[in-house]
Amino acid sequence: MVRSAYLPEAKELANLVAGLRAPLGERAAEPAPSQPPRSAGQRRSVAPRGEPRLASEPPVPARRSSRPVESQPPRDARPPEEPLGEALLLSELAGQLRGVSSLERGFSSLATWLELRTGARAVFVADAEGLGMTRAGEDESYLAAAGEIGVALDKLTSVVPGVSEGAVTFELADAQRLVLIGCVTEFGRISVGLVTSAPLDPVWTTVIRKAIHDVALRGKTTR
Amino acid sequence: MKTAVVASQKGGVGKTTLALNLAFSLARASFRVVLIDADPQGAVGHSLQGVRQSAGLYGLLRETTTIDEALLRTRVNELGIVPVGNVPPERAHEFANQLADGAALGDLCRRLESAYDLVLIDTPSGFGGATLGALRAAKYVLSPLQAEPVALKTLPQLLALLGALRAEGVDIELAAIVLCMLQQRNAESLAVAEEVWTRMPRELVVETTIPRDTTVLAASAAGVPLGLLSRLRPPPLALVFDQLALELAPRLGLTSEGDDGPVGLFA
Repeated sequence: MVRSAYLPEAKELANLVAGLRAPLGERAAEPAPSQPPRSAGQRRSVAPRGEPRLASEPPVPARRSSRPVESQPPRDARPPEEPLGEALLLSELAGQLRGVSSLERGFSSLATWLELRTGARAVFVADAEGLGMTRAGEDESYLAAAGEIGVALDKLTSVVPGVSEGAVTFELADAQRLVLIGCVTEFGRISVGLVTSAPLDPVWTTVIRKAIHDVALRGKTTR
Repeated sequence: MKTAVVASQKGGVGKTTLALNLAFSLARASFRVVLIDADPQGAVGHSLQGVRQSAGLYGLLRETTTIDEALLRTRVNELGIVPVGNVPPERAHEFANQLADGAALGDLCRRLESAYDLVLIDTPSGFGGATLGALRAAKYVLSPLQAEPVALKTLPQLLALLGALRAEGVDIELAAIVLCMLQQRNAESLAVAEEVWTRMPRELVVETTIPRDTTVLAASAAGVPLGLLSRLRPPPLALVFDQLALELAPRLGLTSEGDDGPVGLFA
């Protein structure tokens, strides 16, 4: 037996460790250190004071009445789902972009994630010339629109001091919207376009702009 | 997403140092980690400069803030921090009671699920309501064990509590005991370490040990994790936490053995 000044005796310690490994809802199987193990003849499966019942005898009801089952009040319903904010969305995106080190893969991952999270019918990424930056089959006219809007925004920011980057929304013919969100990066202006049927929450403007910068930074390191 | 609690019965053993620096190192290793401070005294907040007045966990419990407002983003994209907020001393007991059944923290973990790989909860010393709630909400426990006799004597209490919780049906596992504040030139400190290594099951004690080092005080005074104490020369202790993070990642279910293997030197 190992004696120790700090930890309990071996048997008690083994019992504590067994408690960590016991199946859920069960106590550890080892006997408590204060109770020496019984021999096979001493083992009982019924209360120690009663005599073992013979198979021929009828069962005797328990003397102690069963504990009534307390009815539990139903738990409060969970609060309504809180929409994800900027920090959580950016963290979620960081997981999507993990290991990505090229512009094309980065923007493709971003577009796929945006489609999933915003419910957009289509998402594309365009550069300053209105050329697609992913291999998805974007509508050429939308890409061209992103290029034109980018040029207009560049002019606007040079004419009106203090104008920050904006998000531009067009209403399309079939009750859809084209939302363009862009910013200037190391690679020039890059715009993300989303075709949606519902207005985008304003948080997406910030999230998408930060995401563009993030992907551009990843591309920059492998240029 | 995985959930883990840093817990120990004794105070001053390095819980917050472990929680903060482990979270930082895991985040630098590309795991998305959110550190939740469940200590009403706000140990994480006291260790960090620049934790602005956030309503934090306390605000979330009182429903006066949203998760996004309570969550602080950091220089490392993968690391988020939910400070405890401003818990008035007279409300600390009520705060702990609100957390005790694990429902509030469990709900918070669920809401953070899509954005993080690991929720790491720092707890106050002892086994009060906040710690019990964290243990009920999480899957894994990390226990820093100060390499000195009194701390070791409290270890059985943690083991007994975890056994009792499992018997209650709480799915909690002791992922690791981490020897902290080890003094390799001090006989008593070494004796404690040796006892842990020889008496406790090998799989419960990690190989990496955290030495007693004044750099921890310097980082705490500067209000930064060890890895940010110096831009050019991070202290060696920061590298110890990096090593600990890599050792703990598979124990916390963040990586599996299949994720790793030898890599040829020549491309």
